[in-house]
Amino acid sequence: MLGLLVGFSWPSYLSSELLYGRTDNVAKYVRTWDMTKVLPPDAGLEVQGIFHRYTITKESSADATVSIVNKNANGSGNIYERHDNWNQLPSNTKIGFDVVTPSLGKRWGDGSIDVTGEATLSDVIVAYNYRFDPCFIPLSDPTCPDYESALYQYLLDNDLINNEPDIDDPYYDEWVQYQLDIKAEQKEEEEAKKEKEAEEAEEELKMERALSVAGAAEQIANPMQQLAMMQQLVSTGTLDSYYGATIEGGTYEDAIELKDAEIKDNTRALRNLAQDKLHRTIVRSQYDK
Amino acid sequence: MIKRLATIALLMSATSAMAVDSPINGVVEPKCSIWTETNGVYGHPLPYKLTTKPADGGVKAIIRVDVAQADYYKTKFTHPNSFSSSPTLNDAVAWTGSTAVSQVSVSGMSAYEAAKVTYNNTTEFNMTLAGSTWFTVESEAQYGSTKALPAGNYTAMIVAECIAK
Repeated sequence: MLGLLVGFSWPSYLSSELLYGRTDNVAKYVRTWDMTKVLPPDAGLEVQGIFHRYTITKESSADATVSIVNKNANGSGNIYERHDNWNQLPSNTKIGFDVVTPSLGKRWGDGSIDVTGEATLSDVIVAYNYRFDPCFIPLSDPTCPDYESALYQYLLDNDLINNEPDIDDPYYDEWVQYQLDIKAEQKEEEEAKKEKEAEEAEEELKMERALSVAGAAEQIANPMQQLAMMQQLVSTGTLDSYYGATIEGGTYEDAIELKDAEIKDNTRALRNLAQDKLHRTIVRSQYDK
Repeated sequence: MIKRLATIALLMSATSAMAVDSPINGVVEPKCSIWTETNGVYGHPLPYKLTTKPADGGVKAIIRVDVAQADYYKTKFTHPNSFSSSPTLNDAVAWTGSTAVSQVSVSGMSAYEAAKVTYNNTTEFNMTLAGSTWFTVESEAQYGSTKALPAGNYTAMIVAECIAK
């Protein structure tokens, strides 16, 4: 179990990337919209921008204000609001994109676009840019970086490590896979252990063989054993070519031949000898006095 | 002794003093940029006429001007008064055209249209607000009085400029 815990605690180096997207035009048919039906349901989704485009038709002398608003779903007030002042301005088409500090989509309440004053809106487009982490809930996808540790934690929290969950459990398949993984891991460990034992046994055998050779050396040093070995060698004919050879009888003449007719004295050697004699005489004279 | 030391110090300082050119660098990023969002296309509703009016099969050119610093620039659009390339024409071409604000990123830019200045085939806008403004440029060419235009490809250029005020 400890090994298993360690195995699950290893960090996974898979990385999850943020996915970005934009909603459809939420104001295509209506001027108010429910954000829970607009934003994808992905957990951890954050809104990071609002795009708008509309055409306002009015008299230049008239006053009008166009407002785009999202209520704060978790409290009072608005989480986003934009008010375009068209007072004393001619008709036109406006395009804009507001970058907002990314905030959870759940905080974004009902949205609306409205015009106050003497003006009408047409060709309205409002769309939300969002981003989300597909691994915000690691158990949502087996490829998520923290999937294994999250699954282990789930099984631990629900006391399912050693108990089979109900088949209706949302992670029943994962539990089965988890058990299979454990068995596979145990099998691998056992095989590795066996392999290691086999290697150790092989090493031991090699040592025994080496030791048996050393014993033979002692036996070779024994004279009786040597005699027995020689007899064995001769009996097998190994030394027969030496012991069984015969030499013919008769006279064997000297084969030395001197090619030079005269051999000169070695004068250098004679000189050395003379010097040696002189030296000896000198040394001897010291004792003769 | 003190005097001598002082003299030496002065000499040393005199020899170490050198003329050095120390540059100061700076980069000026453009605060006004022009982008062609839609290329204009001439329709050919009549043998002697080329026009960008959608009703006549043409497409108006849409040019976006992005201004990062409010009230420092004006933009100038010159709609064509000649073809940059065309078959050989032996008669005069009568040119008309216009430039208008079509879309804005700030509601106040809608006032640019009323304040524009037009002369010859040029239209000027005073860019008093920061943001993007879309301009639509129309062009129409009429050959001779009602003479048929020779077959071939015709190209004319719109000149859009951003000028510091």
